[in-house]
Amino acid sequence: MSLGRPTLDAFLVQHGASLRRLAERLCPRGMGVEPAEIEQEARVRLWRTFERETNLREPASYLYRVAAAAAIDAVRRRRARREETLDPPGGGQGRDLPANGTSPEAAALNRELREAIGRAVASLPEPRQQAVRLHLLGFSTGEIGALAGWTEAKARNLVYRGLDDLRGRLTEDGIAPSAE
Amino acid sequence: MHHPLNDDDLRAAYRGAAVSAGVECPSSEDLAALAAGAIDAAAREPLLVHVARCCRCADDLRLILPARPAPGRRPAWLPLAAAAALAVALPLGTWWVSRPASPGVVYRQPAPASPLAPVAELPDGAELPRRAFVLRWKPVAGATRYDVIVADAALAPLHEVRDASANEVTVPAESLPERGVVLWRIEAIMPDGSRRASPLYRAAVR
Ligand SMILES: [Zn+2]
Repeated sequence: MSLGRPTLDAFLVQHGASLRRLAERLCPRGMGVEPAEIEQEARVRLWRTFERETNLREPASYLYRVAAAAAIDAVRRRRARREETLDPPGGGQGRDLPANGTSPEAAALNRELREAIGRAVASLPEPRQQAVRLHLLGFSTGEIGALAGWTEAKARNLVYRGLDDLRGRLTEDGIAPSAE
Repeated sequence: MHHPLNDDDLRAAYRGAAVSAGVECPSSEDLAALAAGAIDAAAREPLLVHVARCCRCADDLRLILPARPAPGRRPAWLPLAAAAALAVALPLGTWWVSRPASPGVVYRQPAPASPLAPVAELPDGAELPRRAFVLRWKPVAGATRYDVIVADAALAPLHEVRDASANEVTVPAESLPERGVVLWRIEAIMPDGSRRASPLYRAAVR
C-alpha cells in the first residue's frame, strides 16, 4: 500500500503546532500523563488514518478527533494499570475516578442508597432521564445540549424538571433530599 | 431511612450506580467523534445512552469536550518558531528530534504498558543489523494477528506490515536508513476486531 508520505508531511507542517496545543489542552491533570505522550500517540494515529480520512476539508475536526482519542486512550491505560495494582478484577470499580464534588458524606452513602437512586433515575420519563443522568455525571447544560442535539435552554429545562421528578421519587422512597 | 441529599450527594451516589460492569465501553474514536459532533444521529444515540450510564466514559468525554473545535472554525496557525520555543520548555527525559520543514516530534520513553498490550522482546533502543532487522514481541494471548509499523525519528513512515501471524517481522534493508534510530510499534488484533497497541519503541540501525 502507499503510505502517503508527502501529503501527511504537508499536513503536519501546516497543522503540527495546532496538534501540539490540542495535546496540551486535552492533557488531564494529576494522572501522570504528559502532553508529549498525547501528541506522539496522535501522530501515530494520523499516520495510520490519514489515507482513510475523508473529511480533510475540516482539519480542525480531524485533528481534534485524533488527539482526543489519543488522550482518552492515555487515560484508559493509566486507569487500567491503577486498577490492576489496586483491585482484584471486578472489584472497587469507579472509586478512583476524579469525582465532581465528592463529600465525606457522599463517600459514606451506602449501596442501598446507590441502588435507590439508580432505580429512581431509571423511572424518570425520557428525555428527562437522559438529561438528568448526564447532569449527575457532571456535564453542563451546554454540553448536554451539544451532545444530545438540543438547545441549551431545552437541556436546562429537561435537567431541572428531571431533578424535580427525581427528588419527588426519592422522597416517596423515604429518602429526603435537602432543599438547595 | 432519612438522608439529607444535596446535588453533590446525588451526583456522588449516581456515580456509584453508573458502573457499566460487563458492558463493553465505546472506543476512544467513537467518543471523540461524539464530542466533535462528527457522527450521525443513529450512531449517536446508543453512544449517549452508554455514556449516561457509565461514569468512566462520562469522565473521558468530559475531559475532551472543552477542547472541541467550534463549528466551522479553522485552527489558528502558530509559526514554527513559536512551536520550537514550546519544545524548549519540554521536560527532561523527552527526546526532541526535528527535520527540516517539519515541526518535529517529541519521543518519550515507552510508558509501562498494560499486561494486555503487546510488549517488545527487544530492549528499547536495541541495535540491530540493517541486513537482518528483526523486530520481535511477546505473543498476546488471544490475538489473531499483528500490525507492525516502523517510522523514522520524526514519525515519517518507513515500513508497515499488516496481518502478521508470527510474533516477529523482518524489516527489509531498503526500507531502513543507513544508520540511526527508528521507532516501531506493534498492534495486536483481537478476535472481536479491537486493537491493543504497544508503546512506541526505539531501535538503532547498525
Ligand atoms: Zn463506558
